[in-house]
Amino acid sequence: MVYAYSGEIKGNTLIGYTLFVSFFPQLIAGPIVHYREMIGQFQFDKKIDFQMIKKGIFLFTIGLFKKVLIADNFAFFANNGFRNAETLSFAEGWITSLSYTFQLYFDFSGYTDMAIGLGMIFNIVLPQNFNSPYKASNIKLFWRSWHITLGRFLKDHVYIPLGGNKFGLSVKLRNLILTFIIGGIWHGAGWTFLIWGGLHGIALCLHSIWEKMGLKLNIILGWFITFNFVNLMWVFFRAKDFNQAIQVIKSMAGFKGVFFPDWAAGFFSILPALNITFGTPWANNVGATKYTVIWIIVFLAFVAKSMNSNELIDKIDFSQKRYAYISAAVLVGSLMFMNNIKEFLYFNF
Amino acid sequence: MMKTHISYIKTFLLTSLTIGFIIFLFVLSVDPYDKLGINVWNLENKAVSAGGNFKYSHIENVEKNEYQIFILGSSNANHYDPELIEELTGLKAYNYCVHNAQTLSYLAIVRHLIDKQVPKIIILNLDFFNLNENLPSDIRLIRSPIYKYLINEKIENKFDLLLKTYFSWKSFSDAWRLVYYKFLGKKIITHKKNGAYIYEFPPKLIETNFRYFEYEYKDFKIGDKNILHLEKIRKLAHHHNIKLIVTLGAINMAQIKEIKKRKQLYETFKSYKELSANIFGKVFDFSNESVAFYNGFPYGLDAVHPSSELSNIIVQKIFSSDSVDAPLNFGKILHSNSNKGGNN
Repeated sequence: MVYAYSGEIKGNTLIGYTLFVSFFPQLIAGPIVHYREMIGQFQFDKKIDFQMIKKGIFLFTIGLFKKVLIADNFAFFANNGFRNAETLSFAEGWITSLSYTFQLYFDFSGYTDMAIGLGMIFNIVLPQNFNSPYKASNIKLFWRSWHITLGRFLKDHVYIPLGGNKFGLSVKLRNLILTFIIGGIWHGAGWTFLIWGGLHGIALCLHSIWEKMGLKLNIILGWFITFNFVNLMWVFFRAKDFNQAIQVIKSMAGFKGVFFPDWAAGFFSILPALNITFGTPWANNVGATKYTVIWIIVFLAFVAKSMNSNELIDKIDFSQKRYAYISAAVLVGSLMFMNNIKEFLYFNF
Repeated sequence: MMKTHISYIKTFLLTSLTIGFIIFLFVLSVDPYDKLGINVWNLENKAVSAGGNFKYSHIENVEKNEYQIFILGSSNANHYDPELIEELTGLKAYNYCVHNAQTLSYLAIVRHLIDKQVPKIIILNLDFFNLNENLPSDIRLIRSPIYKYLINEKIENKFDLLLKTYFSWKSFSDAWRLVYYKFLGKKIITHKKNGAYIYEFPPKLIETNFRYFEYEYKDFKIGDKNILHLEKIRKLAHHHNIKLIVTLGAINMAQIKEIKKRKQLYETFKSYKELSANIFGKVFDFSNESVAFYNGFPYGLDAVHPSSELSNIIVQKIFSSDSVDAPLNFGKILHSNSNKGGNN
């Protein structure tokens, strides 16, 4: 409507508009698309593109795999942790927040992969929505690679209309904070979303000042700070209220006692001197075992280092049939896991 | 070029269908939850879940009237010892407790017993947690053979049952385990012949176990459907002249304190006791504060599971109250309001 009003798009037809608003792959949780980038693709004489179909199938199966095998398994620990927020220990607090950090990413990017993959099968190109956000070494890079189409939407419809960066640093900082507060409220009408958006806005302001001053930061240290900041902010995003978020953060900060499992005692023999205790059971509140910790470490390394699904489909030579076998096996495996599937997280926003 | 593309897509589709079909066919051939009566692999038992199916098959195949007393309940009554009951009563007993059993499971089991054994006595051990209306239907019950006794009951998740049940990793891994064990000549033995659970020893220290069921207390509401199941059990027992002994299972003191901390929950806890007494006329209450006497080793496996030691005291209290050295209120009899007035 905004584009039609401003005259940016012309020659609208009822069929074209109806197709745009009802194009099912991205209907529920994005990517958020512009009318002008979609309508040109809805041609009645569109050709079947087999290369796109092959890529689409592969991307769809990766997305399904991410959702049912990775995100839903992390959801178990995250849900337990937030449910028992008041009594979490230090280790449980971190397992809870990291599990949610991975759950949200694999859930939402999995859904996006499925949407883009389905689009490809119909020879429709949907915009990329994620580009390895947890590899980001600063908060600006994070927002350039997390929910990219939302960032674009907020930039076009909030940040630039407010004046963007045209009127000096102080106006730019104000606009950044306002844009992210609105971005927070866009996800839900609650204080936790407002805090989440506001703090991200402040972080972006600090980054802008840092850049303006010409300061540099070691890339690994930058990644560490960014990832932990994002992880901490997801606590507000997930918590049902402010108090629940504070409870989880308190446990992560060690205010509720630091307690590790017996098997970790050998690795940290200095810790008992610091009043840190070991024992069993150690993660009842989240239902975790030592394998949970191993999986969290594996996925931390995975999101920080590995290729993302878009990079993967660009690299793969789809003339080789083995990828058809891999897609088939992944599809069947994922379908078998769908027995206890949860709904996609971003359906809520 | 076009041919190569089409061949790729055909390969994908055919491979997906073939893998899916082979897996489904394999699981069907094993029929791990004994839903279809198929036994291509000639397996001796299909005891792949926590006791339910094993016990079902056992009762299905023993002679009529072999057992006169049955213990029904969740894992809370796992250690109610049939041999001790036999010693105290002279009647042969069987422990038909199933992990996570809900009131619907008890109803199915009672119907199964009436179909196969018609006992003289049923000991029904109730859990506070399992009366929560917000508990999801137990998928294992739906998968189990006793499901056939629930044909006319209202159950969620009926839809797509076979596909959901047998096209899943869980059923595939269970089927694979059964076939693998058969080839190794191994048997899975988790229960004695009288249904008594074999494993589990009380830990020396139960430090954080009060948290175990904390999340289940949220949004707790006693379900009308659960009450209905219990009423149906009472009517069935009455109709078949079965003596019904109802116990409110023991939980530890930390757990009772957790409940008391929450006003609304505590009210629900009290009404659970009152309701149970009203439905069955009288119940033995082992979930009151007298349990403080049995705090710690060796009486609890955790906050909600009494060990063999405490279970033996409970059984003795039921059948020969006078000879047991236990606090007076432990196993206190609560009567229905219409009878002698409610107690808590």
